[in-house]
Amino acid sequence: MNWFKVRDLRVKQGGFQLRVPELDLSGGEMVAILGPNGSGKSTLLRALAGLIAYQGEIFLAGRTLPQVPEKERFRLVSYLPQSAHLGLPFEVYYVVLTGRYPLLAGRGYSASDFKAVEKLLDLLDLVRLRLRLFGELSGGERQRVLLARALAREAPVLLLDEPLAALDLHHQHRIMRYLRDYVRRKDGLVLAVLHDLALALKYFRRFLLLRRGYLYGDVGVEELSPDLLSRVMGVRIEFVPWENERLVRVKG
Amino acid sequence: MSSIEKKPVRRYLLLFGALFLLVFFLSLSRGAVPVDLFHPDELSRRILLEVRLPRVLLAALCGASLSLAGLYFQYVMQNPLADSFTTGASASAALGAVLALLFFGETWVLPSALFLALLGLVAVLRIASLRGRLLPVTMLLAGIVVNTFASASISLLKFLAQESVASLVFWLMGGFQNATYLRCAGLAVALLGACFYGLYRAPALDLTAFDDETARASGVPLYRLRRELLFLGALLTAVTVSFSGIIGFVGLIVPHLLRLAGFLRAEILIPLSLLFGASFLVLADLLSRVLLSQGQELPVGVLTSALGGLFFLYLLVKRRRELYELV
Repeated sequence: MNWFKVRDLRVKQGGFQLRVPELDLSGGEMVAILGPNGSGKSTLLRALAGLIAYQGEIFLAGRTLPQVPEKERFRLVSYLPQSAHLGLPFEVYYVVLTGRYPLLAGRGYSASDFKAVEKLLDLLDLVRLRLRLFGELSGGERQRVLLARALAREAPVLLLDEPLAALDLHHQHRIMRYLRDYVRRKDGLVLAVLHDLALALKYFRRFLLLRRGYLYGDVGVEELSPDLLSRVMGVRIEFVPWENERLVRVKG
Repeated sequence: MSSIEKKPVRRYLLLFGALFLLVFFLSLSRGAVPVDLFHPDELSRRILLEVRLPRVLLAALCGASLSLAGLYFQYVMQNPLADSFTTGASASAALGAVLALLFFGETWVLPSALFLALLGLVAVLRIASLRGRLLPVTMLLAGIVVNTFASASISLLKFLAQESVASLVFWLMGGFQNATYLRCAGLAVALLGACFYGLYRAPALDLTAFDDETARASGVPLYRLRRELLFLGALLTAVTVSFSGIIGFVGLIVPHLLRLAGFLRAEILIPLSLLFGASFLVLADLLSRVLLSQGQELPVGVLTSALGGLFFLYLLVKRRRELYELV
């Protein structure tokens, strides 16, 4: 499945502009977006989710974004923002359950929704916290809840903005393995903004490199050279081979 | 899983329904003249049907309306401290009513109250929202701005139009002296419409409590939903204020207590707020009728405002984090 086809995309936000001349994202792919702060990573995700105005064209599963009604769009796409805020008190269980809202057929949530939530509470070690209020949790716990919420939708396309930033190592790797399996099982797409290069190299096969609002590179894991990464990130980076993996080191 | 999902909703509805009926009949039988509900004589029957029943009904409907309006404002403003009073909607509605009374005549009271309530609410939203979020403290401050201007304008009008001072004071300190069956019917229609609107969209209402991006990315038509909730809240506020003046804090206290008791979702908060809010104001009205001796009455707005003051004290002392959103 060709999930996203982007042609001549331009997004203006204040003085900042994001330009993506061409981009195709297909099923079965794990794609990481890399780049320094303010390079347009989050803007790209927002545009793909249809949350901000843009020029040019974005096709989702063959139709332009405005052609896909909102409720249907968010059945296909689950978007996890970098930070979320909840103004009224709700318990963890219900916060996760609300991620299933686009799938609602009738007036209330049903058994299949509860089942999906149980599975994710278990995956993210939230079973113990299920009745706690979201506002009372620590930063890392909140992020796990929001990630569970995003995954509960079981949407084939996951747009994740720094999904692992506040998580401990154990959970980071557990989730990455889950996502790898998820993408295969659903012919889905994971497009994630990451800052942890080691994690990106270990689990992702394709990289979008953004620099000052421009899609500087769209490369497979083999073409991702230390030289290219250094130019994009603005620090000198080298790879150190170790067993079957490549470790990332920042020089100087 | 079943423990959460199968919370005995029906049992709580029955419980709060029973509480309401109890308070309702208690309030009918007590007052300046005690009435025996089961064996009324001719005079008692007339007092009951012509004075007390419409009054207690109006108090119940106002309590339910203010609670529902408060709840809707809380969804629109994304914080639990919003209600008709704290957002300034009540005061601006009262200003609208007073203006209409002085310049256009009584038929214009309701439309004018609704118009100014909406104007005040839009002002609060504009002043207080920052990048798709409303902080509770800025909302309260913006509410104070609107409240102060509206109250000052009412005082000024009162000063300028001295002959009808007594009738203007009524808007500032509400009560149910002017109850009629027609007014009850009007309020009941508005309340039913607003309540079914919310019940039908309960899961979407809960989602409006998230920041804009999260809510929109869940497929909720956020901006339309907010506009409609704001209109319904303003409508309920305008109707209650036109019929019974400003009665503050009901919409703040009622949902807050229900949330403290563990009722968090719109699906259950809406019906329980109606029942509990109605009981709350019927009881407050009863107290305002019996607290002073010799048939004197306390304005019920004074009672609820006193309770509101205590409530804010509690929030400041016990729940400061929530108030300033330091969490």
